[in-house]
Amino acid sequence: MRRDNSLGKIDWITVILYVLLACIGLAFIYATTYSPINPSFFRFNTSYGKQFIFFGLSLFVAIVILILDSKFYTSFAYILYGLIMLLLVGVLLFGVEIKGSKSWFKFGAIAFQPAELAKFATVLGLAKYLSSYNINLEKLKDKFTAAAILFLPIGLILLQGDVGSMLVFSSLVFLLHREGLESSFLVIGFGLIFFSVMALLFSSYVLIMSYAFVLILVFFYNRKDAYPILKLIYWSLFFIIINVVFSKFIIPILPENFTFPYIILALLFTIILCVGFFLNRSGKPIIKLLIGVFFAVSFYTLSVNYLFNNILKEHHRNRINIILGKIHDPSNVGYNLEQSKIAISSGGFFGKGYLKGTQTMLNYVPEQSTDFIFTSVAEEFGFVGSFFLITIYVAFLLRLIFLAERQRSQFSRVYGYGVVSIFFIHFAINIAMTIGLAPVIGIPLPFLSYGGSSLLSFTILLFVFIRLDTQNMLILR
Amino acid sequence: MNKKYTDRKGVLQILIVAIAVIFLLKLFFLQVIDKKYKEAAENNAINKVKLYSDRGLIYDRNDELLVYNQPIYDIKVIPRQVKDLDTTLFCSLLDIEKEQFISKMKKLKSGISYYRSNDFLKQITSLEFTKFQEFSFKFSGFYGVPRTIRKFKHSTGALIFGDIGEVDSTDIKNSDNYYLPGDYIGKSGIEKVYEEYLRGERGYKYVFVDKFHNQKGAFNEGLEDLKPVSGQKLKLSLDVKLQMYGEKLLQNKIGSLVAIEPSTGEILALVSNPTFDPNMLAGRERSDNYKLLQKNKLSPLFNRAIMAQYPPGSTFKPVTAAIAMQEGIISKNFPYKCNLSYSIPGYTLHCSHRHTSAKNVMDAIQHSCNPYFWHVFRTNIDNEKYQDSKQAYTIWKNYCTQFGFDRKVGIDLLGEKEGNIPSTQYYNKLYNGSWRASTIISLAIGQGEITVTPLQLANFYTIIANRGYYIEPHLIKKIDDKNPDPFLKIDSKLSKDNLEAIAQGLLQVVDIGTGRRSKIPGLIFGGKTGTAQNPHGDHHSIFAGFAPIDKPKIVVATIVENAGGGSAFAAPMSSLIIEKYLNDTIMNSRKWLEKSILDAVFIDSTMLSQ
Repeated sequence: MRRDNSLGKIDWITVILYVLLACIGLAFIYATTYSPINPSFFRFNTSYGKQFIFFGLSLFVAIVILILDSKFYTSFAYILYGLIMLLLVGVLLFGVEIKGSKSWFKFGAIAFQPAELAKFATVLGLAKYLSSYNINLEKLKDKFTAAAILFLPIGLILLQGDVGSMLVFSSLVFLLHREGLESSFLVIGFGLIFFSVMALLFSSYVLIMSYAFVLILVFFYNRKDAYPILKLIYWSLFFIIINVVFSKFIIPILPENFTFPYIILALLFTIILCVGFFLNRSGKPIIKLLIGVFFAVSFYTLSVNYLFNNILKEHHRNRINIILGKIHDPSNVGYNLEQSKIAISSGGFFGKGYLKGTQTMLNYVPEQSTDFIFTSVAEEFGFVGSFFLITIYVAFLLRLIFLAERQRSQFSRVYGYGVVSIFFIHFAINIAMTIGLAPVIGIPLPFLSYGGSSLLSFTILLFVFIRLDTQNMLILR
Repeated sequence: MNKKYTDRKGVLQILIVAIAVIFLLKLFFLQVIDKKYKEAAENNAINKVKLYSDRGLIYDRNDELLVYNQPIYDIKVIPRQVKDLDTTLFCSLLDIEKEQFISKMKKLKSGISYYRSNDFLKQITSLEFTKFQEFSFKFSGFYGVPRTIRKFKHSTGALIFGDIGEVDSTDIKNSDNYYLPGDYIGKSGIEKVYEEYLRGERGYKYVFVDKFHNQKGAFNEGLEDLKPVSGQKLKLSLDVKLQMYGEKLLQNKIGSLVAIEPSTGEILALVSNPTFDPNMLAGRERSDNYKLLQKNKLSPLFNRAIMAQYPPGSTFKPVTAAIAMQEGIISKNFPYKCNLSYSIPGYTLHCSHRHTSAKNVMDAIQHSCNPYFWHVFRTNIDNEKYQDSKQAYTIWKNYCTQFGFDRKVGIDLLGEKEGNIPSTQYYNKLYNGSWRASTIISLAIGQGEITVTPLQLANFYTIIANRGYYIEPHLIKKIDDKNPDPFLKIDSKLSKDNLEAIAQGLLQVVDIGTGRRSKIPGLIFGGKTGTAQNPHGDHHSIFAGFAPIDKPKIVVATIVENAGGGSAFAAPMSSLIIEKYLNDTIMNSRKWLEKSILDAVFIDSTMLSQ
């Protein structure tokens, strides 16, 4: 088949955004190692020197990918998937342990993490599967097959003890949703995460009370009322009084380790709802759903706690508690986050200027060239710089969605969505953690963070999509 | 089918934009509105400050405080923050030379240390620091960090307590990075052996500090701080009064003295002389003083009580007798006629002094009759009961090992020496396989190759005092008011009757024998004098014994180098220790004895002057 002039249709906007992000990365990897006392010249044995080499290598690989026939990816999708899964098994057997995760192959000075390539492989595998004939994610069987393709690498990576990468894979649920997975999965998924985190952060008693409170408010809110807010206020007061009575006078007289408070509580709640139901003439059929949701959520909260305290081992519990910020860990995650926030905050509106960030220079922020690279951008270029960087990133992500949507071929679209989902989750979690909106989970900011194998893998992931896009009018299978 | 779910393309787009907006709002709040973190950054941020734990205190057996902590300060500097310094005032307050200051600062101004907090001057006293603090507003970039060093209430027991010093890289490595540079660690003695109890647990706090390194309050209300845990207090078995009295008696002499409570194995005194003030090795002068002590020809750093190895001489004779009795070679009533000489094939040996012939073991010990013990030893080793002399000797040596000779007795101090009882193999090699009792006859009276440490000697007499066993000698009594793990009780394999006979002999020594000058009116005790041959000069005076003879409370072994026979110095000195411990005072009729010992000088005057 002639490749006609498809290479001329490269989406240069994406390529330029990619080069821009990588160059910002290089500039700030240099900034994190810069010392005004010995301003060293460019050397290959430094971190920015290594990153520079890897950037060159990535560009070379990108060109190779663009030259290769796009048919290659569709035809070899499963084979690539299979090979890379074997690598994941291999790393469990022959890998070396770095920072607590046995997820690296080491060749001399170069360490390489197959989990990075696994993202590419999984997206490829899903794209191939979902674009094959007569696949419908609303069918149970197809759902299971797609889930198997996704969960195989997740399982293998969890065995390596790499929680961060596992989170990244879970972002592919966006891809599945776009291709027909029911929205309830997305809602329940987010719900489970939300309620689990809440269950571990707060006491069951407070939580169940709060859920009950929210549900009661939902139940009694009636737009047709003359003063709907007033009614909410007196129901709230009633609820609070009952609550105070319950926690002050009833719980203290119960024997210790008595689990029945929750049952009494549930009964109490049911009674309130029923009383309300009879008082409230306008009566809503929603009551059954509300009670159902309440019991489900309460039960879930209690069982999460039970599982956490009785099934998990001490070190697992500690790990989760560290992520949740409930305990202070030996490597001082809380301290690092605080330093990151200080550095970002000290940037102010306009920043301190390139290579003038004192917090960056003094290495106050650990892991600054890798996971906390955003911190130095924010310190040295201030809010203006953060705004600019986030805008570039958003433009990049939206551009990728735009590209994905314009594919005639389902394979290319699914692949495109996979690429966006992965870059998006990295972007969201990485920046959220540096500014204190998410627990510190060590995952890099694609193209900016220091790390040769990650830059290379992200480049491969992206440029395969750019290559597929050059033939967006074609239907590939 | 391809376009079936196009309505869903908005979900991810909305999510991306929403997250970006949340990020920008949070960033705007952090970077433009919120002042809290900005101030922290201006003030050079939050610092994690190490909080050092107080080292555990050390008490003696009567709860007298011996070792405690004294506050000192380390002066630190962040060179970048040093501005407009009044160098003259600074140097005069800290008592340093200006050149020293300049060269120190020059070193610190290079590389990353320019930005970091560096040690400038260590361990200045709190008095000096108070003066420095008055002018600290003039010394931007310099600040003090409180530490503690050890302080010793009495100038005694330097080698027992040991010293502490900054960790070196091996300490850090061995501790699996528990220690951090700048931490103190026990370097010798009790400080080292009980380091893990004494050190406590380091803490830390997070504080906001300004550029003068003044702390501006706790971060996050101190919720993330960790309080240091003080070290545990140690109660030693040592009786500090006895220890000091022992050191006083040994003044101007080289030697050592070990006192043990036999029923428990607790060490009451462990004296090694010459000694030094333990405070010399605490504080800023530690390394200078250490070098001085190392150079001293009298080796004050050498703990003679557990490291010096002497031939035990006649104090070893009870061993020879005890083994022969236990092996059934002789009974306690075994008589031997001493005609002042003893012939063995090849040559004739002579008894040291004229005395009536021994009717039994007790008499032999009383008279310290050499031919008696030669004969007993020879009968023992060349006995037909055994396959050959070699087998007999191997058994004989095993007894000695059982008594704690030729191995570490196991005191809770480092560097204990093993002494020497030659092995069968050693003699096989030395004499080409053909040897018998007569070849090694000098072992019988504690001469020849035999060496023992004062601790081993005291330990053997503990066996006699206990009529059968000893408990591993140790210095620890309580850790944080709790008993430490029980120490091993080791059986000597000697029968009570045989040891009773030996004890009777020891009693006669003090009562009517070689030790009678050391008799304490009203106190019946036993012991044995000895003289260690010293090829390099005057003989060493040795004594080992215990008191009272029944239910003994104290065992003493004393060695005074170059002081001549055992009865001359070691025995009276031991008797004074016994009297001091049991009666708490020296009776008037014996004051002359005490004075003569205090006045005696057995150190070469040329060495003293160094």
